[in-house]
Amino acid sequence: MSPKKRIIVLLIIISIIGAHYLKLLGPLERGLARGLGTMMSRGYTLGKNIAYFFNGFQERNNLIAKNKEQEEKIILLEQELINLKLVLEQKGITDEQLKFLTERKLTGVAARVITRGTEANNNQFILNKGKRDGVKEGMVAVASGGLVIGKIFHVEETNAQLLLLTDSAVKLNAVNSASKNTTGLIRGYNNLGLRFEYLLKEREIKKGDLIISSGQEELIPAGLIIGEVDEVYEDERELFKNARIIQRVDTKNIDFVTIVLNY
Amino acid sequence: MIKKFLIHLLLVLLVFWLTYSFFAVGKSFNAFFVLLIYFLIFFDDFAAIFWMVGPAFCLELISPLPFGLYLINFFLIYILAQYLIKKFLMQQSLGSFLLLVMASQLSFYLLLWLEKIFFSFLNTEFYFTIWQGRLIWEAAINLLLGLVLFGGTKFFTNRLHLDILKR
Repeated sequence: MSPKKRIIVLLIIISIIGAHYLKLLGPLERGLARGLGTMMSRGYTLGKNIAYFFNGFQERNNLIAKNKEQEEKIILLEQELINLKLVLEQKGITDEQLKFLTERKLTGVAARVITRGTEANNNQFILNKGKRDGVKEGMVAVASGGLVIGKIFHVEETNAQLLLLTDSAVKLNAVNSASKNTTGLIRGYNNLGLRFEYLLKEREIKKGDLIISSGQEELIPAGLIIGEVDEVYEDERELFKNARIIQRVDTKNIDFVTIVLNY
Repeated sequence: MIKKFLIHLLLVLLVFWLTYSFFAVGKSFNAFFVLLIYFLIFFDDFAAIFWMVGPAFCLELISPLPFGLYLINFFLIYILAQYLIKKFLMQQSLGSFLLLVMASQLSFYLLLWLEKIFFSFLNTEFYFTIWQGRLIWEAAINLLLGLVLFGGTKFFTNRLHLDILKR
């Protein structure tokens, strides 16, 4: 390409960028984003279903050789599942969450996952709801069970970006529901789990305690369930203690989330 | 011309759909550089420019990064690829093609990394993280895709000439 052509292409690119910031491309961008969003959410679901099919197929092939071993595993997993269900029922997570939302007259908007990981980060979800639907940066999204799974960090007209709590870039003010003066900061740990950090050593926290949002952040109501304490770490040399938090939600299989709106 | 435009537009949308929704369930990857280099080497300027601006514009619509970054990055990579073709990788060989693909992919992440540093000075949030595993995975996929495209072009078309590129 000749230098003249290059300059023309560069000018076209600058014009596109300029037109965007002057809002001249608004209708085109909204139309394209909406069209792409619809196409992509369907593609995402289709891809997910196909992936499940092949995973299932592969598992069936292995099942013959590992039948006995898997049966034992299934029994163990079923027992674990029953235990987990009991724990959840005891804590009344789902009911409590629904009751909480109704009592506080909070509303949310259901959003579909369009895709994930466009910036090479699998903790990042793109949702099909945006500014038009009242979504703002800093809001939280909850999964079907009512658990907080992530924070909205960028909003466009028709879509929004969600970062899972497990991402190390996300921070959320939280409190121990069993001891309301135990406050700290929830942070992603190695993009895999959650840590409840900056806990004063004299504050109470133990395994099994339910961690909820503190309500100190502008757009996040208090009392939303984040997870459960799995282990508490305390080091004499450190000023604070921290805890590992587990979330009983499989973020890999999320299709829909609810963004908590009116707070 | 309009027919050509529509075909490329549909192809860009299809690849975008496949890359960022259908395959996003597993390990997502960015296949646009293979195609950009492919069209740059084997097709005309129109196709190459289309595959530079089209995917970048689509990415701008769903990306949290400031609008314009993808367009600028893709343009810079395009210029870099042209420079490499002109100075070093002058043949339509598989080696040149794959080297260009790798160079463009690495340049893309390097650019994003530099932009992240730049935005950190401006105290602006820049949501971009990259893992080594992702780079290797994406490089492997891109090389495989490059091999398939090159093989397909060699066997099914007469576009491949082992002579010096005239760009």
